[in-house]
Amino acid sequence: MNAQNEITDRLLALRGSSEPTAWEGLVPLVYDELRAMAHRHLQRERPDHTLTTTALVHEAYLKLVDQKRATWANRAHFFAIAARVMRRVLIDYARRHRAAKRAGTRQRVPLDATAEAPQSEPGAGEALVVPDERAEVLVALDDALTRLAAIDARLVRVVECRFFGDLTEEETATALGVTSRTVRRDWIKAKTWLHRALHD
Amino acid sequence: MTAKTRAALLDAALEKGALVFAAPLLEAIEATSLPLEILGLPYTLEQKLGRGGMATVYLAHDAKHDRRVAVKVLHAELTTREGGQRFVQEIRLTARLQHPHVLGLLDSGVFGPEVGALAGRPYYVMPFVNGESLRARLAKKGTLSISEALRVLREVADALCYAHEQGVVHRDVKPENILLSRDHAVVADFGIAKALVASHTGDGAHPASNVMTDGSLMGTPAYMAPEQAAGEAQIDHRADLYAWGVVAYELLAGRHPFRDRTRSQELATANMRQTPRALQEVAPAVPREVAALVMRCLAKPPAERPGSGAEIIAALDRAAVTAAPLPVLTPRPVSSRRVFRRLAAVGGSETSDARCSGPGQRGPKHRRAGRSGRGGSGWQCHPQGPLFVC
Repeated sequence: MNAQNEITDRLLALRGSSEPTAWEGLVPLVYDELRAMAHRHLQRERPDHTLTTTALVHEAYLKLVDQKRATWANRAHFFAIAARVMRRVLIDYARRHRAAKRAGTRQRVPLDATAEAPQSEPGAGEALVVPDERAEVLVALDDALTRLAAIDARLVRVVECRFFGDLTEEETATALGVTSRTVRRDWIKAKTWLHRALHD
Repeated sequence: MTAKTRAALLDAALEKGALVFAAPLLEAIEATSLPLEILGLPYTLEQKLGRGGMATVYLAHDAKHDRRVAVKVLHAELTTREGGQRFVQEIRLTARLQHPHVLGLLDSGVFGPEVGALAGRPYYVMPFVNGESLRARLAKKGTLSISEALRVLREVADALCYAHEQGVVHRDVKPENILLSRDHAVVADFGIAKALVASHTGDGAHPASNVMTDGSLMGTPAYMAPEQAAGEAQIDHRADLYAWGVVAYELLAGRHPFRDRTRSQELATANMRQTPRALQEVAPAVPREVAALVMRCLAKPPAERPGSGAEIIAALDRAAVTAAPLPVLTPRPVSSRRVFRRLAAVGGSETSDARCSGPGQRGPKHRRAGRSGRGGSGWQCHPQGPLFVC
C-alpha cells in the first residue's frame, strides 16, 4: 500500500474516533513529508514568503490524501495530525540547533535570508540573535506541553492545532470533535498555563 | 535568557504561529555548516554557492589538506533513504577518473540519521574550481569566439573520450557542467546522473537507462539524446556525443539548435524528432568540416554519430590542419589595423571561411600576424561576421 492510500484509509477509519493512538501510525509518514517540504521551502531563494504552516500542510495534504475519498472531517483530522507532526519537526530542529551550539564548533555565516526578511514582520531586525532564543523557547514549550498532557490532554491538542498547525478555532473544533467555544476557552486556559510554566 | 524574557517570547510566539516564529531558526540551521560538522566530516562550510536541479553546492574548507572544496548535497526528493548507499557505490567508478579536463571526485558519502533534515542524503566532494561555468560565461559574454569555442569543445571531447574509455558515461553533458578554469574546460559531474538513477531503482543492478522509478527522466531535456528522451533501456557513450553536439552547435551558432522550444517536453520531443537547421547555414564562419562533424553528432540514430570521442577529436584536429594555412598576409610586419582592412575587403567569402583557425592551431602565418599586431594576439572568427584580428 502506498503512503497516499495508507493515510486516506487511516483517516477514514479515524472518522468519529478521537482515540489518539489510532492516528499514531500516520505520524512518521506525515513527518517525512512535512520535513522535506519545510526543507524545500527553506532552500528556495526567498523562503520567508512561503513558509507558513498552512501552506506546508495544504501541500502535504494534497500530496498525501486521496482527494476523491476525502471529506471535510477527514481533512480536519489530517490537519490535526499534521499540527502534531509539525510540533515534532520544529522541536527536532530546535534541539539540533542547541546541540550544535553546545558542541561549539558551529560557524556563524551571515544569512542573506534573514538579512532580507521583510521588514513588516516583527523581529526581522533581530534575526541573527534570535534563532538561539527561539530554539530555547520551543524546547521549553515542548517540555511544558509534555507536563500539561498529564494534567489535561485536550489542552495540549488545542495548542498543537492552534499554534503548531495554524488551524482556526472552527477547524480545531472539527478536528477534536468539540465546539468552537470549548476551543476558545481551552486555548486561553492553555496559554495562561504555559505562560506561568515558562515564567517559573 | 531570563524566565521573564522566555515567557514574553512565548506569548509573542503563540500569537504568531509556530512556523513563523521558528522561521529564523530554521533558516539559520539550513544556512550554516551545522549538518556537516555534526557528522564530523572534515569540511567546514563557508558559503552556499548555488542550487541546481540535482543538488545544492557549498563551498567548504577541507581542514586536513587546507584547501577549498565544493560539497554537493543531493536534493531530498531525488533519493530515497535506502538509495543513498547505492548512489555512493555507483559513484565509485567516477572516483577513478583522472584527467586534466575531468573534475575529479574527492569524497562521497551519505549523511547519517543524526543530521535531521539531511538524514540519508548523499553528498559528494569535488575540487573547487575558481572560475565559472560555460553557461555563466555565455550569459555574460553572449558568445565565444570560434577559436575559443573550438578549444573548449576539443577539451570537452577529450574528457568524454577518456571517461568513455574508462567505462563512465556522463549522461548530462551541458554548459552548466562544463567549468572554465583559466579558460580551460573541466567537465564536472561525471556519472552522477547514473548514480542517481541507481539510488532510485536500488535493485543492485547497474542502471542502463535514465528512467527513474517514477517514470521521470534523469537528465536535461535541452541536451538529451533522442534515445535518452525516449527512455530507452540502453544508453551508451553516444548519448554524450549527442549532447556534445548540442553544446557545440550552441557555442558555434550562438544559439541552441532548438531555441524556439522552451518547455522541457518540447525540447525533449525536438531532440527526438526535429532536425536542426544545418550549422553551416546558421554560422557560415564555422569551418565546414567542423559544422559537418557537429551535425553528425546530432544524428538521431546513435549509429550515425561518430563512434567515439576520439573520432571527434581527430575530426577537429583535421579541420584545424586544413584551416592552418591562414589568410594571405604580407610577410613584412603590418599593423593589425591594416590586416583588418585587408581582411575586411575579403569579406565573408568562402575562401576566408575556410581559413578560420582551428582550435588553438597556430601556423607560421599566425605567428607572423601575432608579431605584427599587439603582443600575443591570435586569429579569431566572429561567428557570423567577417574574419578579423583581435
